[in-house]
Amino acid sequence: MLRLILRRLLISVPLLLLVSLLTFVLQALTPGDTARTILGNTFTQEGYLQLRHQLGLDEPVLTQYWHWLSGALRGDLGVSPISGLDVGQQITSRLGVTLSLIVCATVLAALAGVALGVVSAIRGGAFGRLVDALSLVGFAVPVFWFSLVLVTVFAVTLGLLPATGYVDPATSLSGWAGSIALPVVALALAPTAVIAKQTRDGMLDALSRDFVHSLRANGAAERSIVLRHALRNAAIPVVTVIGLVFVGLLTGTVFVEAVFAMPGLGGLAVQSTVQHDLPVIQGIAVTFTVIVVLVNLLVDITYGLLNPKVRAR
Amino acid sequence: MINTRKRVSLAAALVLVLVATGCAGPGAASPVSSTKTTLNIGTSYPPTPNLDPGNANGSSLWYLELAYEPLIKMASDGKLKPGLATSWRYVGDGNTTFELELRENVKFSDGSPLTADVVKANLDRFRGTAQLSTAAQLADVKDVTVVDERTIRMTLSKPNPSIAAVLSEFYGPGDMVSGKALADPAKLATQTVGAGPYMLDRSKTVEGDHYAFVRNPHYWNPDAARFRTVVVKILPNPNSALAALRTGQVDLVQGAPNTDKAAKAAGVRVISVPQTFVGLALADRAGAKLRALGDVRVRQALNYAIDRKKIAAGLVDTYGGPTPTEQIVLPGQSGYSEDTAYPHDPDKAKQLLREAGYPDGFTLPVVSFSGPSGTTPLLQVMANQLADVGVRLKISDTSDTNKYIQDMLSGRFPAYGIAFGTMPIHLMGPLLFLPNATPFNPFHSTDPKLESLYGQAAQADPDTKPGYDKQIIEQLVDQAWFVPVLFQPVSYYARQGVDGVAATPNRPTPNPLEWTFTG
Repeated sequence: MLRLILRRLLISVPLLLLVSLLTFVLQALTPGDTARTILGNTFTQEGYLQLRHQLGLDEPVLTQYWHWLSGALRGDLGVSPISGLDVGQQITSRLGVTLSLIVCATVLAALAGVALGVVSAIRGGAFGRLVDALSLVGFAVPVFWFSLVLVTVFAVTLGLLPATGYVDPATSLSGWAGSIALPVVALALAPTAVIAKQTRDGMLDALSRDFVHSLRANGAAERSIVLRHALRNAAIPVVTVIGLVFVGLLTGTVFVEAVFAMPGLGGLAVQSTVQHDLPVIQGIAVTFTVIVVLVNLLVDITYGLLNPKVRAR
Repeated sequence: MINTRKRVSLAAALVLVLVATGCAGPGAASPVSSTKTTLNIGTSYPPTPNLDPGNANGSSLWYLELAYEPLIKMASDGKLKPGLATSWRYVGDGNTTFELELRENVKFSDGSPLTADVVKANLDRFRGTAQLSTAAQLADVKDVTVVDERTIRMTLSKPNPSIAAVLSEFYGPGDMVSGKALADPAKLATQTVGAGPYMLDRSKTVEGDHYAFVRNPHYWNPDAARFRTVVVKILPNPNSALAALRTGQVDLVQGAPNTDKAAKAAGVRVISVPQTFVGLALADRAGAKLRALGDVRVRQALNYAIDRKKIAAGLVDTYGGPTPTEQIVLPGQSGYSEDTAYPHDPDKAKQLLREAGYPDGFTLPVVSFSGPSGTTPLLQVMANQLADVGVRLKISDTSDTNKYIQDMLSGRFPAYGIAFGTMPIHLMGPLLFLPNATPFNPFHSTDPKLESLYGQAAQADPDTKPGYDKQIIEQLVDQAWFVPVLFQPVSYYARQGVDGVAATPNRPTPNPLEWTFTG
């Protein structure tokens, strides 16, 4: 297991370099630049060229990348030439918001999805079809629209939860929970549907296997068969899906952060891309890559815990 | 090992905790407490690009108005009134020398005093630092001199009747920064050191989310700081902004065309004023890229082909109740002409095209901006009406502003979709229609009559200037440099009990320093 973890971590180094290089080059290829964002529509050509020179935008792309990389290797992600804010600090202050949303949404989707999937596999019939139908709805409903419906119902009409904003858990734990409740539910809808469907199919497959018949013939309790044996067998693909859900939510959070006015990384990613704020874009790309690597590592470790054959490899 | 029943119970409990704590109520969850002494404002953008007045643009206006008192203030009707300067005047004829008398006993938020030397240092930085957007706004200023300890003189390289307007809060160069803070201007991007009623409190601010302003203890007129705290909250989604207003999280928000109806239906006060003209800029007026556009009859034909009233009525939701127009100024603005030059007349359009040698029309490639309230929805409707007279609009659109500007400047497109916030004609010249206007005259079109009128208006006294302004507009309309179609309004939603919120065509953005709570 330790070798597996070390190998994964080693692979992540070239991966991070590649992602950061690709992001840098792609951004450099898109039209427009930071200087134009800073100057807006009112500028002189002389001022524009001076600012480009001052920001180093007139250097070759690879030289610019090297400047960024040499800073990043020392742990310095630089300062945004547009807002004047430290990139590392910006990302740290926003990471908590995005992780709050994604972790809670993944946990909620996993619990609800697995519960729905298991019950529907056991009960079958109308309930099973209902879960299937709800899964389709979960897939089809756009998160953006669903978020606005939640705001209208729970914030505007019922007045139970705030319409927008994020509260730091250090300020108020209940305030934090209140501020993320609606966005988490909005984010969790589609993943719940995916996980429920995956769990149901996996459970139906596991429950039809020979070992289940043997267990039943030996008089094992139905609850034990379902939860201890069948669910464990069905769990590996479900864990894969949960890992994918987590990674997918990194992009899903962009819409939810906008609707609920949350200062997360998704909003910063969009804003910095539009503004051509290279150091911020790079910082976010690296952060997202690290998150994806860690989640995949966690998924691999979970495989090992669920299946001894993986551990032995 | 936890048994399965316990595991299921634990899972259920977790869900319940999440849901239960989630229902803590909006009061507990709101980061911004709405009390009678705190004004909460919602806007779509953080200060863009940052808080330095030298880089000010429209989206940083509210932030800067709170913290930086300008030399000259602009009232809601667009009239200029004293700010840090108590009076101002042009010396002699011809609008080439401008003097300001400074207010006494003014201090910045860091406690340092406002002096003529500090004002000179500010103006020199704003005009002399080419990397600041203010450099273009003060391009006509040749020299700034300290006449005495309360008087500043600006010598201009050419006549400019708009210096006073440029020194108002609407355009950055009037926002004076403390002399001490000018020693390290890089810090101005993230903090405020002005002589306004408020100052940014970074300890209560989360950049990109909300910006908290507290009273400036050194402000010269403490009564003008009506609120203990002002919080500007970023609400990027218009629907959520409206929801935040309706649930009491904010007192006023910037509106959007697609939420105006919902706001009115919800009983919210909607303040709306026409501001941005949207249409087509026929940039290649010499016919270098597309010969047809070099003929004024063709450009006029395009204007006759458009049914502006019908389009404005059809695009109410897209552009928030637009007003049809064929000019780039509004009624009430200097230069506005009451006459209608281009009634909808497709037959006349066809006749002009025939006379110009284009009986079968031509294809007109145009670059357009497709962002929210961009030019694309309008151009698509225009395309249908232009097709009726044989002109085929080939729209190439992008949602990236930078790409749009780059394509526009590239010279590949003889025309482009334009959405331009109207302003005094003299200030529009260097952006829109003078030979070197950047960025909206990409083909460097020239018109001797237009330039001559512009030059005469620049030197004119306040009594004769409106006459020249009107001739400039009539020349632009007659030469059909643009096909303006509608004026898009800008809107604001205020909760009942917030008074003094005023927006007019001459000053389209309400100033938070004028607002009061009456309930």
